[in-house]
Amino acid sequence: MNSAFRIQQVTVGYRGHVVLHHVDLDFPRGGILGLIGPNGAGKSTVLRLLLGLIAPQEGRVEVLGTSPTLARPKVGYVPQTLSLSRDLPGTLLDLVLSGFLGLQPPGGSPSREEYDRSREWMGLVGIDHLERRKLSELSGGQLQLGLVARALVRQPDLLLLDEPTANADARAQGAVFALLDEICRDRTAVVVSHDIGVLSRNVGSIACVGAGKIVSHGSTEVPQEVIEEAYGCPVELIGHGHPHRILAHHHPHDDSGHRHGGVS
Amino acid sequence: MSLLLLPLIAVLLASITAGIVGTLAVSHRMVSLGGGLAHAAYGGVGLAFLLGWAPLPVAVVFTLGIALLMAFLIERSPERSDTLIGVVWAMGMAFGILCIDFSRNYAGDLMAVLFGSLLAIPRQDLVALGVLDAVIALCAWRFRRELLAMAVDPEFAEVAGFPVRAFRIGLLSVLSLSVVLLMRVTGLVLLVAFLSIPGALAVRWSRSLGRAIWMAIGLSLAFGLAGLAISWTFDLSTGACIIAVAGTTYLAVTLRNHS
Repeated sequence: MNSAFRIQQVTVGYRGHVVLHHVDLDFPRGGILGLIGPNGAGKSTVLRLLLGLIAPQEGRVEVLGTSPTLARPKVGYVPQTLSLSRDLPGTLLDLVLSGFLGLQPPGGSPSREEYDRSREWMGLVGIDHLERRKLSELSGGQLQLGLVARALVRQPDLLLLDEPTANADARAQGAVFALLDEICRDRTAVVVSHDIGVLSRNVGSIACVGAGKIVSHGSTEVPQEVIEEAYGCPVELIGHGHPHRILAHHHPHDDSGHRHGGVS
Repeated sequence: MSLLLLPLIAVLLASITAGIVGTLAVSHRMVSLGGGLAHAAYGGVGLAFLLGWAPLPVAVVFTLGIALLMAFLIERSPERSDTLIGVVWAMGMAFGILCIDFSRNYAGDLMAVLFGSLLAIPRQDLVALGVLDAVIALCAWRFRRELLAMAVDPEFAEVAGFPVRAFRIGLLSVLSLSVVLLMRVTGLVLLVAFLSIPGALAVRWSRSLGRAIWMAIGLSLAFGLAGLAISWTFDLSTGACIIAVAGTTYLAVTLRNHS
């Protein structure tokens, strides 16, 4: 019961293609876990498992001590902004109010409490002045903060965020993580990101997803070989008193056919 | 004037249907599905023709069945949804044509189904349209918040515990009923434009789903009355006139926005 979630010996995939193979991941309640890994490694698949949107082919997933589907009322989800239809007749306030979906029987208008709580969270993430803007009139960063507010109005015990700072500038990134830091004293968050620099500055633990496995889990100090195994290419970690940055090796005369890649 | 009374009532009722269902179809990206259902409905009309039964109830049941089949295939099949819609679209029409081929009845009345016959709309069709309007208006008003949230982010709606699948099937059923009941107004061939154009313009110009629906009803009424007036004045096909007015307006607005 002390685990926020527990993934045990899980194998999962799509249409015959295995994405994760016999993986284990256990995270205690409270704190923030960062999930890193290359494209297609299975970071979003981990979130989808925790949300109950896909079922494991093998193994077991437990969220907040129960099945992912039963845990949904206590889970907040922040998807990538790309998955949204923005060209619709709805405002930012409508978006945040939709966070109450499923908590009450369908039908009717939002209650006074729902309006108040929505405006309170919009204020806390700094977007309350935009409440009457249509979704199509918002920048990517503003929309992302709106999605964070939508998840938080549910007062979740577990918050799952898929690339929450992908479109945000440095200030908005800082605001999101400062807020996460504040609320995760008694809650748990899982943040998926490509940006290990941002994660290592702002989260307590990092798990690295790659090659069908979860190859590291623990502190934010991810060993270079673990990153290289996950990304499948040579990388260079630059510490020098700064948070981790991972860069591709510079091989100006290298004809060996090594794949290069990097994250910063 | 009495000759025009029933067509005017039909335009008003059809505008309410098109305004509500069209706005929801545009918001939920169901326009091509609506087009597929409209053409597949011809299979139901052909079947009724072959059996010698009233076309409306047979077409309603047939189109609802096709809608549920489409929902099942889109959800379960790895095939792209537009391919599935295209196949069912053509198969429905082919089935209708074959039924008519096998029938020995005179097929003249089927032109009214394909291209509309607003001036000769039966009273019972108007009653059915009125009942449908009352039900969908009530549902759209009551669930406007959920319908918008589901359109913006269906995955979040599902994760939040909202019955997305049940609502999607409900929407599809309403779309099927609307398609069949509107066939006398614009005809099955042109119907998808009457359903989608007012909704598309209203969604573009409105800040809330409720306002978009009101605006789409107003636009549908304006297009319908203008089309009826042109048709009456110049003795032209009413359905085609309505679509010509709506389509010209839509293209003019779209081109103006891109210039």
